Amino acid sequence: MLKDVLIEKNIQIQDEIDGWEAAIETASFPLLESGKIEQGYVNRMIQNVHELGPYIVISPQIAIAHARPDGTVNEISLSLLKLDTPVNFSEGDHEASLVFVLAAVDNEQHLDILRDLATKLGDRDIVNALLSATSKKDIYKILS
Amino acid sequence: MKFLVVCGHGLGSSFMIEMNIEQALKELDINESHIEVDHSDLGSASPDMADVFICGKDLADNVASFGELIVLDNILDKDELKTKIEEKLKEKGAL
Repeated sequence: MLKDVLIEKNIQIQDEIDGWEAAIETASFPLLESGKIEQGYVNRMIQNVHELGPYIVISPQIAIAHARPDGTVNEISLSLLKLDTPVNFSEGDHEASLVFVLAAVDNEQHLDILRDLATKLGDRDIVNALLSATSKKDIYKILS
Repeated sequence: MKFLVVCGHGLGSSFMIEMNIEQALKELDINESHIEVDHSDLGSASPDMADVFICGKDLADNVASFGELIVLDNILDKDELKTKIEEKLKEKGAL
């Protein structure tokens, strides 16, 4: 379930950030610190955007950074960095204030979490509530 | 008829779109046994894998060579998806 993986300590709020690479790095930090992922996973998520473009911005204001499972993920996990000032993932219009990091161990096990997350993020009221939330606790409540 | 949703890794957004397609087909009252939906990553997808390919606009250039294409501006927008699926099904005479 979403509420079991996107725990409060995996949620961070920051005013602004210097570029999308820093956003992915910062969003990944709680997962690195708790040993859920290795630094190699963070590097590959960033590399993927360089190679494939800003496709991880799946909807206005929402980015889900991820990479293919390859042994640099120790446990399925999810984190969120909420920015008060959106960061741009490209020269064009790919701004995101909600930067998720999704770590999967294979092609299947994370699908329940993703189903839950997609349902929540498909609801504009929920997204607006997330965008105006000011505490980790509020964000956790909105998503659980 | 088979729809294949393609994204960078076949892990995240393609699955979300697949979920929304299944819901759209239900809403359009289409018998799901006539339409197969699957998702894949860009590297493994090939032209013979489906009749219609679906992807987000950032990958459209990479997927265009596979065949018929539906491009989504907003991957999470269910209304956009439903409208585009409906158009495609009408075009193919399936609706």
